Amino acid sequence: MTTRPILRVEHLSKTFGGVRVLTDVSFEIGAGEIVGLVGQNGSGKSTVIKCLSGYHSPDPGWQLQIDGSTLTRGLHPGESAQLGISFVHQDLGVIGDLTVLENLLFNRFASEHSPYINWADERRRARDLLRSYDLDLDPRASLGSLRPVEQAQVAIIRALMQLRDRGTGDNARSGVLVLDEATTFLDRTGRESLHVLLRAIAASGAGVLFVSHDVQEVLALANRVVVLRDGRVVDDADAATLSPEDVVGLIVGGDRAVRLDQLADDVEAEKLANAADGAGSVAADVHVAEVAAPIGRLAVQSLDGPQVRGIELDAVGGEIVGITGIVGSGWESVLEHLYGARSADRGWLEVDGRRVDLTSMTPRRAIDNGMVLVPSERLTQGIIGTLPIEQNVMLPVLRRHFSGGFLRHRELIRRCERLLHDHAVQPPDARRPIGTLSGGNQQKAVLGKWLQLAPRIVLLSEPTQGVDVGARQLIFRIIRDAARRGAVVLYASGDWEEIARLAHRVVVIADGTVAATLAGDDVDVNRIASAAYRGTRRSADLAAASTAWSGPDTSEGREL
Amino acid sequence: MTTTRRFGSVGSLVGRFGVVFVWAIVVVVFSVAKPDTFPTTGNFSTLFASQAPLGVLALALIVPLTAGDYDLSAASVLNFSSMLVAVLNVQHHMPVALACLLGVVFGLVVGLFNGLVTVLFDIDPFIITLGVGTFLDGLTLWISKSAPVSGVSQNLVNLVVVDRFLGLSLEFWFLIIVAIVLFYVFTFTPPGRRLLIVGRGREVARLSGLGVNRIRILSFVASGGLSGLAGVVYIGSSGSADPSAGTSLLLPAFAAAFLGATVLVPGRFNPWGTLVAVYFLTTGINGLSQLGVSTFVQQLFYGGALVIAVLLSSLAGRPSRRKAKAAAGPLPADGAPPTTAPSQPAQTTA
Repeated sequence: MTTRPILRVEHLSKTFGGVRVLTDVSFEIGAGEIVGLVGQNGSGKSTVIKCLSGYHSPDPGWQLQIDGSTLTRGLHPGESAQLGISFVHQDLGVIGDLTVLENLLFNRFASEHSPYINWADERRRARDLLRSYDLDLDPRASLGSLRPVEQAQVAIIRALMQLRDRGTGDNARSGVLVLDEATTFLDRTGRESLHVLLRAIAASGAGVLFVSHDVQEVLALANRVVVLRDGRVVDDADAATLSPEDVVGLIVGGDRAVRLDQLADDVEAEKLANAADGAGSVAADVHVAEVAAPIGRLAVQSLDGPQVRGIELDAVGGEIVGITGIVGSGWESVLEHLYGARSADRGWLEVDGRRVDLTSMTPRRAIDNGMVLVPSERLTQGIIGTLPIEQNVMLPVLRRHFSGGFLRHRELIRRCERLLHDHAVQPPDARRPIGTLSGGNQQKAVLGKWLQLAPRIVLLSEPTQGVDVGARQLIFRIIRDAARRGAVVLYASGDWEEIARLAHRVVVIADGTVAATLAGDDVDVNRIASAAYRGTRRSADLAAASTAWSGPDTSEGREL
Repeated sequence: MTTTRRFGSVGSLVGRFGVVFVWAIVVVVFSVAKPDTFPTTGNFSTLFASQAPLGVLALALIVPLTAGDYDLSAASVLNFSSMLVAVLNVQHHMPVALACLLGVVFGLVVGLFNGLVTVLFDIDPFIITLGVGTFLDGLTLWISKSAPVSGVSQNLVNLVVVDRFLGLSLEFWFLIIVAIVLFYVFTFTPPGRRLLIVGRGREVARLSGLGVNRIRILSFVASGGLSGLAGVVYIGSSGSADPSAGTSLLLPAFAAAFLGATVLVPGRFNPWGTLVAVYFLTTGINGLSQLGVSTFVQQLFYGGALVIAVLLSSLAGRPSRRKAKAAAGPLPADGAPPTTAPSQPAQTTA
């Protein structure tokens, strides 16, 4: 199948501040070939992509061959398109308010300075191009009116046009198209129609690099699969020779001893970090969460939303339940539906026998039901960086400090500073703009904002994102403390190590439905991974299948 | 670090009181240049009182501005409300108190309309209020038959300009009362705090359980009502209504609101800062016209002040914004183009 390599990467390494994230990565893509690139979060996939796009400069010693040119330096931003690498990213980079034609042409508008556009001519060319790939799209339609899969098709065709437009117009049908998680938010049929398009593009002579979390999808589409783990290529094999289990095994890594070592290092690092900023003593007596009335039982029933269907889960007071899956599988939206931050199509929440309809849930109602949410996008949803910490943190309790017709400013500041102290926020200065704190301290303040309400149900969406290791330790402590006092904690995260360390039970979501619920000794990274990657099989088979690469249980890990 | 902040550096002092200093310099310069006419009680009492309608209008604007919305219909509401009072009182012999009440109620209704349309249909208030304002201008010309209406009840004129307290017409004290009320609401009540949160982070506000839509609608209602009140003060101060005079106050009011956001509490629309800005601008114009400069100086002054004020507040806000970004860690590095609508909540991409 491989005729000649279009793209060849050799000895690609990348170091960030002394930490090596890519080590001697080499691979090639032949003309007409679709290569899948897979790996866990943090395995180095996105660093590879960013080196190819010119966003990062690789360490010296690498070599890139692309369509006949050879480079040993880093690429300039924008240079990749000239050389023959074109990207379609997860967010597609299309503009809904413009027409299909305008979207297809805007790269050209950006690079050319022709004073005149022949719209009729361009429209005809676009229609011909779309037709040649069996796409029945009207160039004049507004992009926002198209289905998501059609928008993705437009993005792919645009990337293809970018490849063809370069150079002297010799219509060379080569170059490499890179799809960076571009199918993540599509449903199954949508993905399949994109596969048809990608195969047609490959058949016309281009190479395709397909980056995805979805192992099954990669195996269905790609001719060859490159697996990255911890910044190294651990396998590069013909897709036909691999089973999904093989690939998951390669992605997660078979060596448990190594992983436990890493975990121990991590704990050591956390201790050191605590000692270093003098927060160690404060951390020891973090006493924060009050729980109004310990919860008996919580259940979510038949939750449907744009990305999930038929989600059922339950929890009891004192329990930390992890919710996870691969990127785009729907786990990200579960908490938002429960809190009413995003409307659900169907579903109920039952708390101690009281049933609440989730289709009419709002954040206000959720808070009134004893729920709080620490949202995943801290900078846009969690804090207002320019306002003082006090105005951010005390927002939910303003009425408590309003008496005799006046907000008691001094009291607010005092209460807030005590809260900051209890949560080991550095510096505990309530008048400071919250944006001037480090990410970890911002997040501790956000936790304080919500836990002061003595919630019975604590929803946490990736609370350790952008948080340093020391703060992470404190955040874990605060979360455990809330659970110990009888709250239900639902913890949604894509970081499986973290989930495995913290959660008593884990609900794994694949393809929008609950793929497995793991409890007790089953809560470990390998079992989470196999459930997440392999989709909808029952957890019993998973446990059996996963023993192949799983070692002793990790319950000691959770005690850390 | 804390010490610098608590005791205030020279920079922040200049920031907070910059416009006040400049105002003082302007007063001194004109007093030296025109010692007979400028620094007189008569001149100052006229200056302070005559700008009350502009002041109330500027205060009306800072309510939706704090919530992150523009109300471009405010001056037209003022204009219509003053014409309504004149027409009802002079031509239909309605008691002046009732006419004034209707003027304010009319403003509240327009504000409610602005708010409902903006929020329920999720439309940019800039456009809606621009359209509503223009529509009102047409209504004003219609009910007045495009001619000034004079002869409004002397009771109203007495109450607004003739009667004095501490040597200043009552209209000045009305302005002060409105400023006190706004200051109280902004600073000492939970709704004032929530208004600011809604303006700075709508998504944060929503997830914190605030009724974002209700708060935004009410901010438009407040600005409509205050603009209607400004119209009442306006007709009271002149005794007659001109069908187009009021609309020219829109730009000065915005200039004062934005310049006011650089004073006293830099970075926030605040009532006292707004008043300082109103009087700084009008002092400048008053002095220059005494020096014999032509009337075009008004436009130069107001327009220039608006541009400079926005520049200043952008500069004042910049260092803290940069720090916030630095603290948040590196930006997502996709090479993807930024989203076009900053008001839309960012899509969750993990």
